[in-house]
Amino acid sequence: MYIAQRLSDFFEKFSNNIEFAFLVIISILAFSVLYYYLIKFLLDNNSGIVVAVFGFVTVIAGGIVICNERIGGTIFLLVPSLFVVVVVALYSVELKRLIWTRKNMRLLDVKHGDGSFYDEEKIQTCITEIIKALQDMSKNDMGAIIVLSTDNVPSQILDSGIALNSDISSELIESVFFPKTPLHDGAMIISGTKIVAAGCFLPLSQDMDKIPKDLGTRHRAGIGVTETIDVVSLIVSEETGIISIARAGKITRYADAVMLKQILSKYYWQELEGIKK
Amino acid sequence: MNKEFNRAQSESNDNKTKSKNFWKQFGLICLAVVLAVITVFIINL
Repeated sequence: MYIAQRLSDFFEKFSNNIEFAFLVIISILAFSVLYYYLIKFLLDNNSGIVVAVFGFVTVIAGGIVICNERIGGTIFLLVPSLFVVVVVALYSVELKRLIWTRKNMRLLDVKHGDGSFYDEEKIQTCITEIIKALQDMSKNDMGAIIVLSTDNVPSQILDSGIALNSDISSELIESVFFPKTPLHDGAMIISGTKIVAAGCFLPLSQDMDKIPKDLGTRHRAGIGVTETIDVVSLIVSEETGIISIARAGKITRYADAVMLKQILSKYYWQELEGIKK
Repeated sequence: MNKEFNRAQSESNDNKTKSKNFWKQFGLICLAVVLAVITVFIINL
């Protein structure tokens, strides 16, 4: 009866007071948007269990507030507030990556200093050269990490290596990663149609559970950099010659020429499927 | 013949994926709205 009374009071107030009704509708819209993006973010990060726990806590807390006369409704605000705080605390790395992704421009929209845009033919050449270099290094069991970035690599990573600012060619890439050369041990950073730097040190992945035990430090570095920055890592194993692709903390092994072309095309924001050479 | 079959199969799979995504989005929006209504209702009691 008490619950029915509270319900009745609420609807009476909603019907008689336009200002209150407007406030309620705006609040519902605001909370809907908040909950939509929070739940979508959690589901995209395979955390359905957190959504279920939140739903359960909402129902229990709501029941307690409704049934208890002495508890005011405003204390229920703690539930969504705590939800946001928990999500930010548990998923700070993923949130950081999401924020950095929003800042990235389409690579093809980036103008050169002289006002011209990237040339499609040049991009095709870059893709071909990178794939050729990866396949040659794979054949010869030369270890390599190439990071595809959109000018979003932190300066401390770039500064740890040697700036090259050169055009992309398979010969240069293979020369850099040739064993016992000074720059062969670090990562190469590519941004657009330029090799920005080589010999760079990357942060290692801290997630030991997801990485197969047979992968070494090179792969951990290739994965680790993708956990915090929206970049793609192309890794060639020194032991097996296997080419792997890492993105958003996940690794796909045994990448072939088709997969590499898809990844590189996507990186350069072009649809190249069906285009004959 | 095989190419046509594969293309039709691929289109059918695309349509199924689009439909699945639509219902997933719809479910997500409904869940968000329901939780929002419950939250606002309880806060204003």
